Amino acid sequence: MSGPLILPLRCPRCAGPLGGLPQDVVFWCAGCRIPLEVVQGRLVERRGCTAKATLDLPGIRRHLPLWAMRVGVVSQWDDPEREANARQLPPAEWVYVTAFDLHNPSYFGDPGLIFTQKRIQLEPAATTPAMGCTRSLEEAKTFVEPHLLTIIDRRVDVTGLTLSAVVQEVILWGVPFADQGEMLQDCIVGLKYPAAALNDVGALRTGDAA
Amino acid sequence: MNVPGAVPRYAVAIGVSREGARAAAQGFLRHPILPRALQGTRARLELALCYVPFYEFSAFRLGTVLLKETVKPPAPLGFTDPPEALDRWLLEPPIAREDTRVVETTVLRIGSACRLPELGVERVPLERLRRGKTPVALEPFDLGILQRRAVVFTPTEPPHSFRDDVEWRILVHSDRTGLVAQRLKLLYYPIWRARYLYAGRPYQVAVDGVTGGILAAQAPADLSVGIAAAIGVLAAAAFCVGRATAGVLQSLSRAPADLGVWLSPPLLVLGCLLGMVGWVALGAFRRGAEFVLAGTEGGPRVEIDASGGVLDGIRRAMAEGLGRLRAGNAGGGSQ
Repeated sequence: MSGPLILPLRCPRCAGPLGGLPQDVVFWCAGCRIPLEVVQGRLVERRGCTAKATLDLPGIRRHLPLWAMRVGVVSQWDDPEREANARQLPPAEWVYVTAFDLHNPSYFGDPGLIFTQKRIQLEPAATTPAMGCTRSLEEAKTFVEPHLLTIIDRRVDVTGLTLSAVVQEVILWGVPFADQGEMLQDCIVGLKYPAAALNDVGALRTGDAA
Repeated sequence: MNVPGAVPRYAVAIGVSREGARAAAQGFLRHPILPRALQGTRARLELALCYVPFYEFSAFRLGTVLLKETVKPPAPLGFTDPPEALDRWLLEPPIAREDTRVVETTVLRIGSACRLPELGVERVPLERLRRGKTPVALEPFDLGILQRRAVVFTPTEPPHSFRDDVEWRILVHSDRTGLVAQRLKLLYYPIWRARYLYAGRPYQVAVDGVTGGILAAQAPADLSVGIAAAIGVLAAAAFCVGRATAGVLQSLSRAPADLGVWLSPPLLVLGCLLGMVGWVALGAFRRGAEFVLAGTEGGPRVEIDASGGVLDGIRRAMAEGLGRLRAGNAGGGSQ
């Protein structure tokens, strides 16, 4: 049995310190402005961007992570009528998966699913590290097909549908949220969440970096 | 960073200050069944903050569920419908309908990670609080900082047994769903423990550090009403026995027998019964009792220092009945 692995949180490029919260799996290099994910004991570079806010909301600006995956979808229906109905839905090019630790998202509303359903196109702004990424990319990929099926199921019964999605491109977006004390509101769509629904809100506010 | 296999720890944000906990404990001590000396501010409370560990298991159930149902059009029961329409409707087979629902829901289970009945851990409403629309906030866990101001209990239940138990309970074989993004967390919940002395004996009240409710309590019970009732029953028994004896003696000295002969045996039996009840009651209430609030069900109960046996069982039942009566009259105001 192997012992615990101690991984120095240093950027492989510049050897600068990496920033993140205690439960994070993705850390940011302040110098290179790139996210690095811990995968099987190694730091793997990911493409990271910060989304430009479309809503000017009051409050302290925080950037929370969302995985965005450009997908190619292949689907096959048993029922031609349902297939015809499904074709009326515009295809989702990007699937978003929430990467921060949101408590009970099926109650409060999963921002990843909502962004996917609304077919949000994020625009990059000056890169700011997005803290609180507790979901790995591999784990995020398991949500891609359920998100797509959920969106189709809201319009058409998915009985007899076989769907597979191939991830072609991945970006870790830092989505701007306005921290208003009791609530946090995203500056893209305007979704509101109680601050207590974010399990790492205390660490985010205290800047308790690992 | 998130270490594979390790259990991330968080502290639940405290919602009740020391003064708030003191006020809640003192409010509990104003319960009418408690001795008057405890009511108000006479009892000197020593407050200590404790953090009790709970396991929180969360996961996503992803997949599809196939719903099969049979439907029939409404029965033709109108006045204008021909009579044979109903016969046709009855013979028609129902239409089978299938609907596949995509499931993408959160699974959440919370359980205590150590057994602390004296702090009323079973009554902590953490699962309800975490499921609510305003969940309790979590704070980063720092053992060094917490131990400076509180007693931090260590989990005694192993995490894998809790996880295995939860997974077994939520396992579903009948659909095409699976659990992903499984997480196990340790949440440390704040509980205020208020201790005090009464007649040289220690007692305590556990106050919820988030909601301010009373989780567990021990207090000396004031059973003056019970003692007065027992003395009254004994007096009634003595009266019945005395009257019956006097009747028998009078009837023996006279001839022929009169009404006293017929009335004396029932009075004697009744007097003996009342005497026995009164004696048991006096034994129960004379020995004193404790007012206890604990467990997951029911309200406060009165416990006496019983050593077993039938008579002690009767005494216990009487004491508990009196406690319920008093608690009911108070409208459960202390909780």
